[in-house]
Amino acid sequence: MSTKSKILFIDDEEELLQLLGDFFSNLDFEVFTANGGDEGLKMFRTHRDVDLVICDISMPRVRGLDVIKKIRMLSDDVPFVFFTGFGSRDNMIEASKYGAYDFVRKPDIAGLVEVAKKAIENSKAGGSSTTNDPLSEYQRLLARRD
Amino acid sequence: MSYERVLNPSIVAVFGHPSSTDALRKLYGRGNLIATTYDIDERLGHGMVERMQAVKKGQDIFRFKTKDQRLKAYFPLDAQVTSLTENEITFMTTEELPYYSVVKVSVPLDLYAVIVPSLKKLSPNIHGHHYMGLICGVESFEYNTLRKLVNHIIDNGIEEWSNDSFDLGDPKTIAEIEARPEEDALDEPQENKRPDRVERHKSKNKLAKL
Repeated sequence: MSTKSKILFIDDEEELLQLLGDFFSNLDFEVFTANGGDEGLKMFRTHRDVDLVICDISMPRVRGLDVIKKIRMLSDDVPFVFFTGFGSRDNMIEASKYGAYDFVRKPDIAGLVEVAKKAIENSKAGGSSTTNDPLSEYQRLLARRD
Repeated sequence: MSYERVLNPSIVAVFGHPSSTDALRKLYGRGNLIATTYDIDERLGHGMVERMQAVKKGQDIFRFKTKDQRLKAYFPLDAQVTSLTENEITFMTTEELPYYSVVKVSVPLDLYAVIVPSLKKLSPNIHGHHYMGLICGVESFEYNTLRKLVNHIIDNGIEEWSNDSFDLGDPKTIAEIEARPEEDALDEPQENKRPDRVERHKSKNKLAKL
């Protein structure tokens, strides 16, 4: 049985999918790629055990917003990271209402790797998609502020 | 001026939100934000006060009653006024505003409006939101100026303006305005009929949400 963490990439850019697939495979992740939102939804239904979904927001036909809405009907737990370009802030705000783990700007792949590892680690530790201990975080912010 | 500069070093705590702290920090550009899926409860509330007191040890802590004026918060907001009458204002803004909150319009004159569900059909704003506000709390002087402004817009069409560029002349009382015979305006030569236009800057109107 594979112990690799599974990531589903959903994007409408074929070359980017290929690049991300190769990059994350080399980092010892098990990678699934889907070209577009509709294919991404089909793939999620057949691979419900993925540890992370990384999705573009602006895609033709089925947008990233529609993808997260439908995936949230199937799973509340899977962390969802949006790997997105500029100019989609309204969509990002809307997407955040459905539980986004993080937003990473294209083409920051190094940042995406960092966020992906953190999201999977947090998810496997049974953490919610938000800060686990708001009081500790609050205290840390107070200390930094003062 | 950014929200960050206005409000720092305040901390924003968002309760009952499904997204993560990191996501909301990036989304709203606030480093001092905490988000949690939990709704705020007594434990969290007490915990936050206790921690603040612990950090603030040796310093004065101020508590305000709920009706204290100092509890009011002002958020500057860019908006585009789309219609204006003596009683109501409609405007577009990129920010989502809750119904029945109060906005203060600072240009071209100070007035307050309560945002209400629109009583008329407002065109959709693809860049944000389109709201209707009922003008309230206007003093007689501002009401007078507002009436003149509406008349000015009717005569001159809608253009953007700023405080510096909009000049309504010396204030007059309502009695003076009502006493002014309409014939005066009709008798004026055509070139003098419209008030002198002053240079108008392309600045957006400013509203402040209370």
